[in-house]
Amino acid sequence: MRPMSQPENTAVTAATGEARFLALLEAHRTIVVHVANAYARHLADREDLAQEIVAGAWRSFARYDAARTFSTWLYRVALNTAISWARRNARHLRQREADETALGAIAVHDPDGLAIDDDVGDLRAAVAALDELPRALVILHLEGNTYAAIAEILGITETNVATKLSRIKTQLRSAIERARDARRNTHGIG
Amino acid sequence: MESDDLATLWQSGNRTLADVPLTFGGLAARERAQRTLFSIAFGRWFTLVSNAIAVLVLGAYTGDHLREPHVGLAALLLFVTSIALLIVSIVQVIIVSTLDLSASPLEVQQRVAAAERIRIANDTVALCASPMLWTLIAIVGAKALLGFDAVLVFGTPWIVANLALGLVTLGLGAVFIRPVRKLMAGSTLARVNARLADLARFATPG
Repeated sequence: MRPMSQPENTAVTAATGEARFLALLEAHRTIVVHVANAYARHLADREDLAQEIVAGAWRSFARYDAARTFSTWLYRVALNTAISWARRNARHLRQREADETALGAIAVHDPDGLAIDDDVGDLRAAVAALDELPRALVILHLEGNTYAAIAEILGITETNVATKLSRIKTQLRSAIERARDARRNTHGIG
Repeated sequence: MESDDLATLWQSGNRTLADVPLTFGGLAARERAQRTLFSIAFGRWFTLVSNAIAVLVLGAYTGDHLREPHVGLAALLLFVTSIALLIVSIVQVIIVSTLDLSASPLEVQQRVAAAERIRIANDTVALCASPMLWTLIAIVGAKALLGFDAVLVFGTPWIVANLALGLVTLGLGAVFIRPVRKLMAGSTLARVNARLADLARFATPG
């Protein structure tokens, strides 16, 4: 067997890197999907954001340290990308929300017509109304991450995670209750 | 409603939404990554290169005309301004090009906001100084392109008229162009300062 030349060696390394990236990504696919779902409402936006997260992850993959947890790394990339995406598209998204509200098109919480429970929609709307980092914090919690994992992903202390989560959850519960009351009043129930 | 109920609700939504098919094409992602990289870098690199060219041209011109009355001083002031603009654009390119998406969102957002504050502060100062800069450019331009000392030929009224023209243009810009108005009023800078304060609060327990 002849030894590989430098370009061949580089190509093989690149191919191995891409295969490894895709394997890790597939194994942690839900992180990308769930973060995209949390930051975008419409199907087209969710697809766009998910693709952008994959692109950001691929771009940063060369710097990934295999000694660290891939899920923590991917959560960071996904959240950073989602926050940037949301800020870049803020005007467009606000305009569309306003148009849809004006047209009365949002009778349900999901614009793509999926059957979403009222409470689920209220929770998602309340989460979407939070500022960027509190929103990331609560999403990580609702996705089932431990305080320690959340602290590592966001770069804050566990105590800080606990304190802020407690406050945010109170806010979310109040928002859901208010939305329920509003629905009851609209439908003349109770 | 208990905390677990919130998580259950959230995950129930995930189950519904996750049915939406998403594309994970390695090649498509790679192409998109390259496009995004180019689009992020292009504007900032263009500004940096333009500022570097301005420093070189004004530096050479100032060196040649420093001893000339009016024109030497105007060229020197423009040269100093161009150096300041170059430094700001270098700092911005360094901040943006060293951004690591896998750093903590808190750190990334603080760096993005800091870069934005530098850009806005730079734009605000440049805008406020634009009537004076315009006058300096007119003095240097008249000498470099037409070969005469405008201050000597037209006198002080010409300087005053140019400053007034710059101020009127700036005033009209502030009235009719919303981003200019916001920059002049300081609300753009106040917005980014508020964001930095929010981020600092988020980093602090309590």
